[in-house]
Amino acid sequence: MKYTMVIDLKQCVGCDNCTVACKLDNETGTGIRWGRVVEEAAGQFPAVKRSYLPLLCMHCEDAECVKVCPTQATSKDENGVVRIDYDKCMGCKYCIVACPFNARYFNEAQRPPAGVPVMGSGDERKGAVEKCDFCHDRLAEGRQPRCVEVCPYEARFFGDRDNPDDPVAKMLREQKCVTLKAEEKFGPSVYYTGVES
Amino acid sequence: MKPQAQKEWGTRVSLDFFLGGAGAGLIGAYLLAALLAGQRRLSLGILITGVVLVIFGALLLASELGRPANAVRSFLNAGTSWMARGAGLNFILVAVVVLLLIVERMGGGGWFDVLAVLAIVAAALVAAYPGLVLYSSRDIGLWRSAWLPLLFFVYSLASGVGLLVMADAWQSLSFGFSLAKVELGLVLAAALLLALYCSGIAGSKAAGVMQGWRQLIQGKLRVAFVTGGVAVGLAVPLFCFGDLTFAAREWAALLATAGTVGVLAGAFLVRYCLLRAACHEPLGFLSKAS
Repeated sequence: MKYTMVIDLKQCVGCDNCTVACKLDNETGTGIRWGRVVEEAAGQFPAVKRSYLPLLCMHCEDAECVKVCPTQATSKDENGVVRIDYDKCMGCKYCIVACPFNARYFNEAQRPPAGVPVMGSGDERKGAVEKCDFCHDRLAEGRQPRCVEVCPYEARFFGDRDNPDDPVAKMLREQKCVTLKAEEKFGPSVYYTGVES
Repeated sequence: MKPQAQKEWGTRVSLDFFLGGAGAGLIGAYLLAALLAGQRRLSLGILITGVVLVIFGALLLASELGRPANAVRSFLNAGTSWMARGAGLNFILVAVVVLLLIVERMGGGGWFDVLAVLAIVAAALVAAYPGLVLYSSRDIGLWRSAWLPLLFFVYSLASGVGLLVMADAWQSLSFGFSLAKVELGLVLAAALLLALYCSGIAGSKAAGVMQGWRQLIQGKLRVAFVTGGVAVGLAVPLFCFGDLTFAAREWAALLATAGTVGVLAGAFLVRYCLLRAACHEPLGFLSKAS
């Protein structure tokens, strides 16, 4: 089994529902966003165009973070999900430096400035590096990752690309799906479709 | 989409690389010179200084860790992680030097040469690993130059030999050959490697490398890199050690000190600047799509 996510960029409107749901569900601290949406404007008025790129851990096949982790705190499970054992992490941040997708965050357990609400404690991750784990606990219960579930425009699809009958495997076969930094051959498990050429 | 600057590693990591490199360079260069000169009585002060530099660097790195208690696990991934290898090599270097000192104080014997050679090899690897830690980050083009590990290695060696030249100038180590000449060669090698490295990254078309290069020569790192790393770190030592090698030795101790301070400043500032200027390559197709 190879868990895979496909994100349809034509459907994404940059509402950040996924970002907020992920923060609440995973109780990530201030400044930490396991999932986020990057926004970019291009062109000149009146021909201005806005694009949205949802980002999260790409759960790479050839994961740089797994290779550089000195304590083996980061590993790939049998379903291709890159996971962090927070009890093993020593917080050296080598994986953050090595990650080509800026998907990892160091939990400094910073308190937010006065007036800014506290966004979760994440105490078990204090002093460690954290990131998206495709909502591992939800997957174990047979549910979808939170960001997939809450997307109001159904821009996200999640499944097993090794199963030919899975809708995600069909999308990968039948639609033009691309990955970020494809030329580097990191082998991301997050694909994008609806990309304009 | 713009390249993202690497913000995780800064002063403390570059200090660790610098101190560990200088300590290993000092130990390795001193033991090699002692073996070549046939000396069987080692300087406790020099070896302890080297060990203290290595340990202090490692402690600085430990202070950067979020969970230092887990650092003992860092020997586990030596198969792929240069940081894990570095941790193990630091430990081996310190242990071998302590053993060597014990053996030497007990009268030497056959183990002396074996341990000295082991310590030199371990010191060479400790001097080399920080460059390989950076080189193994595939996404940061500024670090993906084959010259970088070699440059870091030569800077470590130059730092160690510089400290030896200074010690020799103030209190003769009686090696029977000119350490200043060796140091002059190392500083020249560092200058050549830095030039080769810079010419490589200056010609790169990768967005992250271009942004990093701009930071080094035009941005906020310009003073540290150009004035500190190149002028103070290379030009001053070249003048001082050149004068020491080819001219009168009236001011030998002062020249050796000035040259060594220059080398040490350059070795630190170049590492610091290359860490701070590093950028991840942009994420890719979004800009093409828009």
